[in-house]
Amino acid sequence: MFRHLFALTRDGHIRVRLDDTMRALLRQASEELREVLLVDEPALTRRLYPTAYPDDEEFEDDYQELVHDQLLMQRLDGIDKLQASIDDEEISFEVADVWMNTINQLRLVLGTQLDVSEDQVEIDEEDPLATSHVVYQVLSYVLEELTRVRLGSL
Amino acid sequence: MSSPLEVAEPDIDIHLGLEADTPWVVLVWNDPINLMSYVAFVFRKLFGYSEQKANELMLDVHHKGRAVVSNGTREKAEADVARLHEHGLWATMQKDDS
Repeated sequence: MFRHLFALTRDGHIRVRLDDTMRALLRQASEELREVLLVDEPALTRRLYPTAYPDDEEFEDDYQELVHDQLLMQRLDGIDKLQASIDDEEISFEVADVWMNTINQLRLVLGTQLDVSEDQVEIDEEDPLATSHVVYQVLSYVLEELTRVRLGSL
Repeated sequence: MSSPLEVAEPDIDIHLGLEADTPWVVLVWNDPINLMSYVAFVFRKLFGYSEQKANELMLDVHHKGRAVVSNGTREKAEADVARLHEHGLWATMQKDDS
C-alpha cells in the first residue's frame, strides 16, 4: 500500500516517514552540498546566485556584494539544521522549510551538472552520471512530497 | 549671476525625485529544475498570495516563460528578489516600462 513520505499531525507538525536509506542519502548529499558551496565553482553554483539586475552592471555588482555571503551563511546554517533533525520522527514547519530549501539547492546543483530538461527521460544505466540522475529523481520525489504537505498546512 | 552651488542644488533634487518615483517590477523566470508545486508554495509563503493567485502566477511562469510577482520601490523589489533567490527561484528586477 502506498504511503506518503510526510503527513500533517493534529498538533501542527509534520510526521516523517523516510526510511534509513533515504535519511542517509539526505545526510550525505547535504554534506556534499556544503563542499560545493564552500568551493563555489560557478559551473555548479550559478543557479544558486542568479543575476538580480540584468540591465545594470553597477547595481548588480552592489547586489551580489551585499547578498552573496549572506546567502552562503544562511545555506550553511540550513545544512546544519537539516543534519541535526534528519533522524527525527516529527519536524516543525520551520524545520520543514529548511529541509525544502536545502533539498532544492541540491536539485539546483545536480540539475545544473546534469543539464536536465523539463522532459523526463529514462535513465541510461551506462551513463557515468546515472547515479546522480537517480539521486536527482529521489530528491525531486522527497521535495514534491514535503511541498504537498506544507501547501496543505497553509 | 548665480553661484555654482545654487545651480547644482535643484539638479540633485530633481534626480532624486525621479529615481524615488520610478516603480520596479520583480520577474520570476521559468527553469527546468524548480518544481511547479514548490514555486507556488514559495509565492504563497513569501507574498501571502491566495492558492488561486499563486497557481496562476506559477502557470504563467511555466507557460509564458516569466511572470511579474511583485512591484514597488527599488529597495522593496531588491528585498523581494533576495528572498526569491534565497528560495532558489530565478528572479530578476527591472524598471517598470508598462
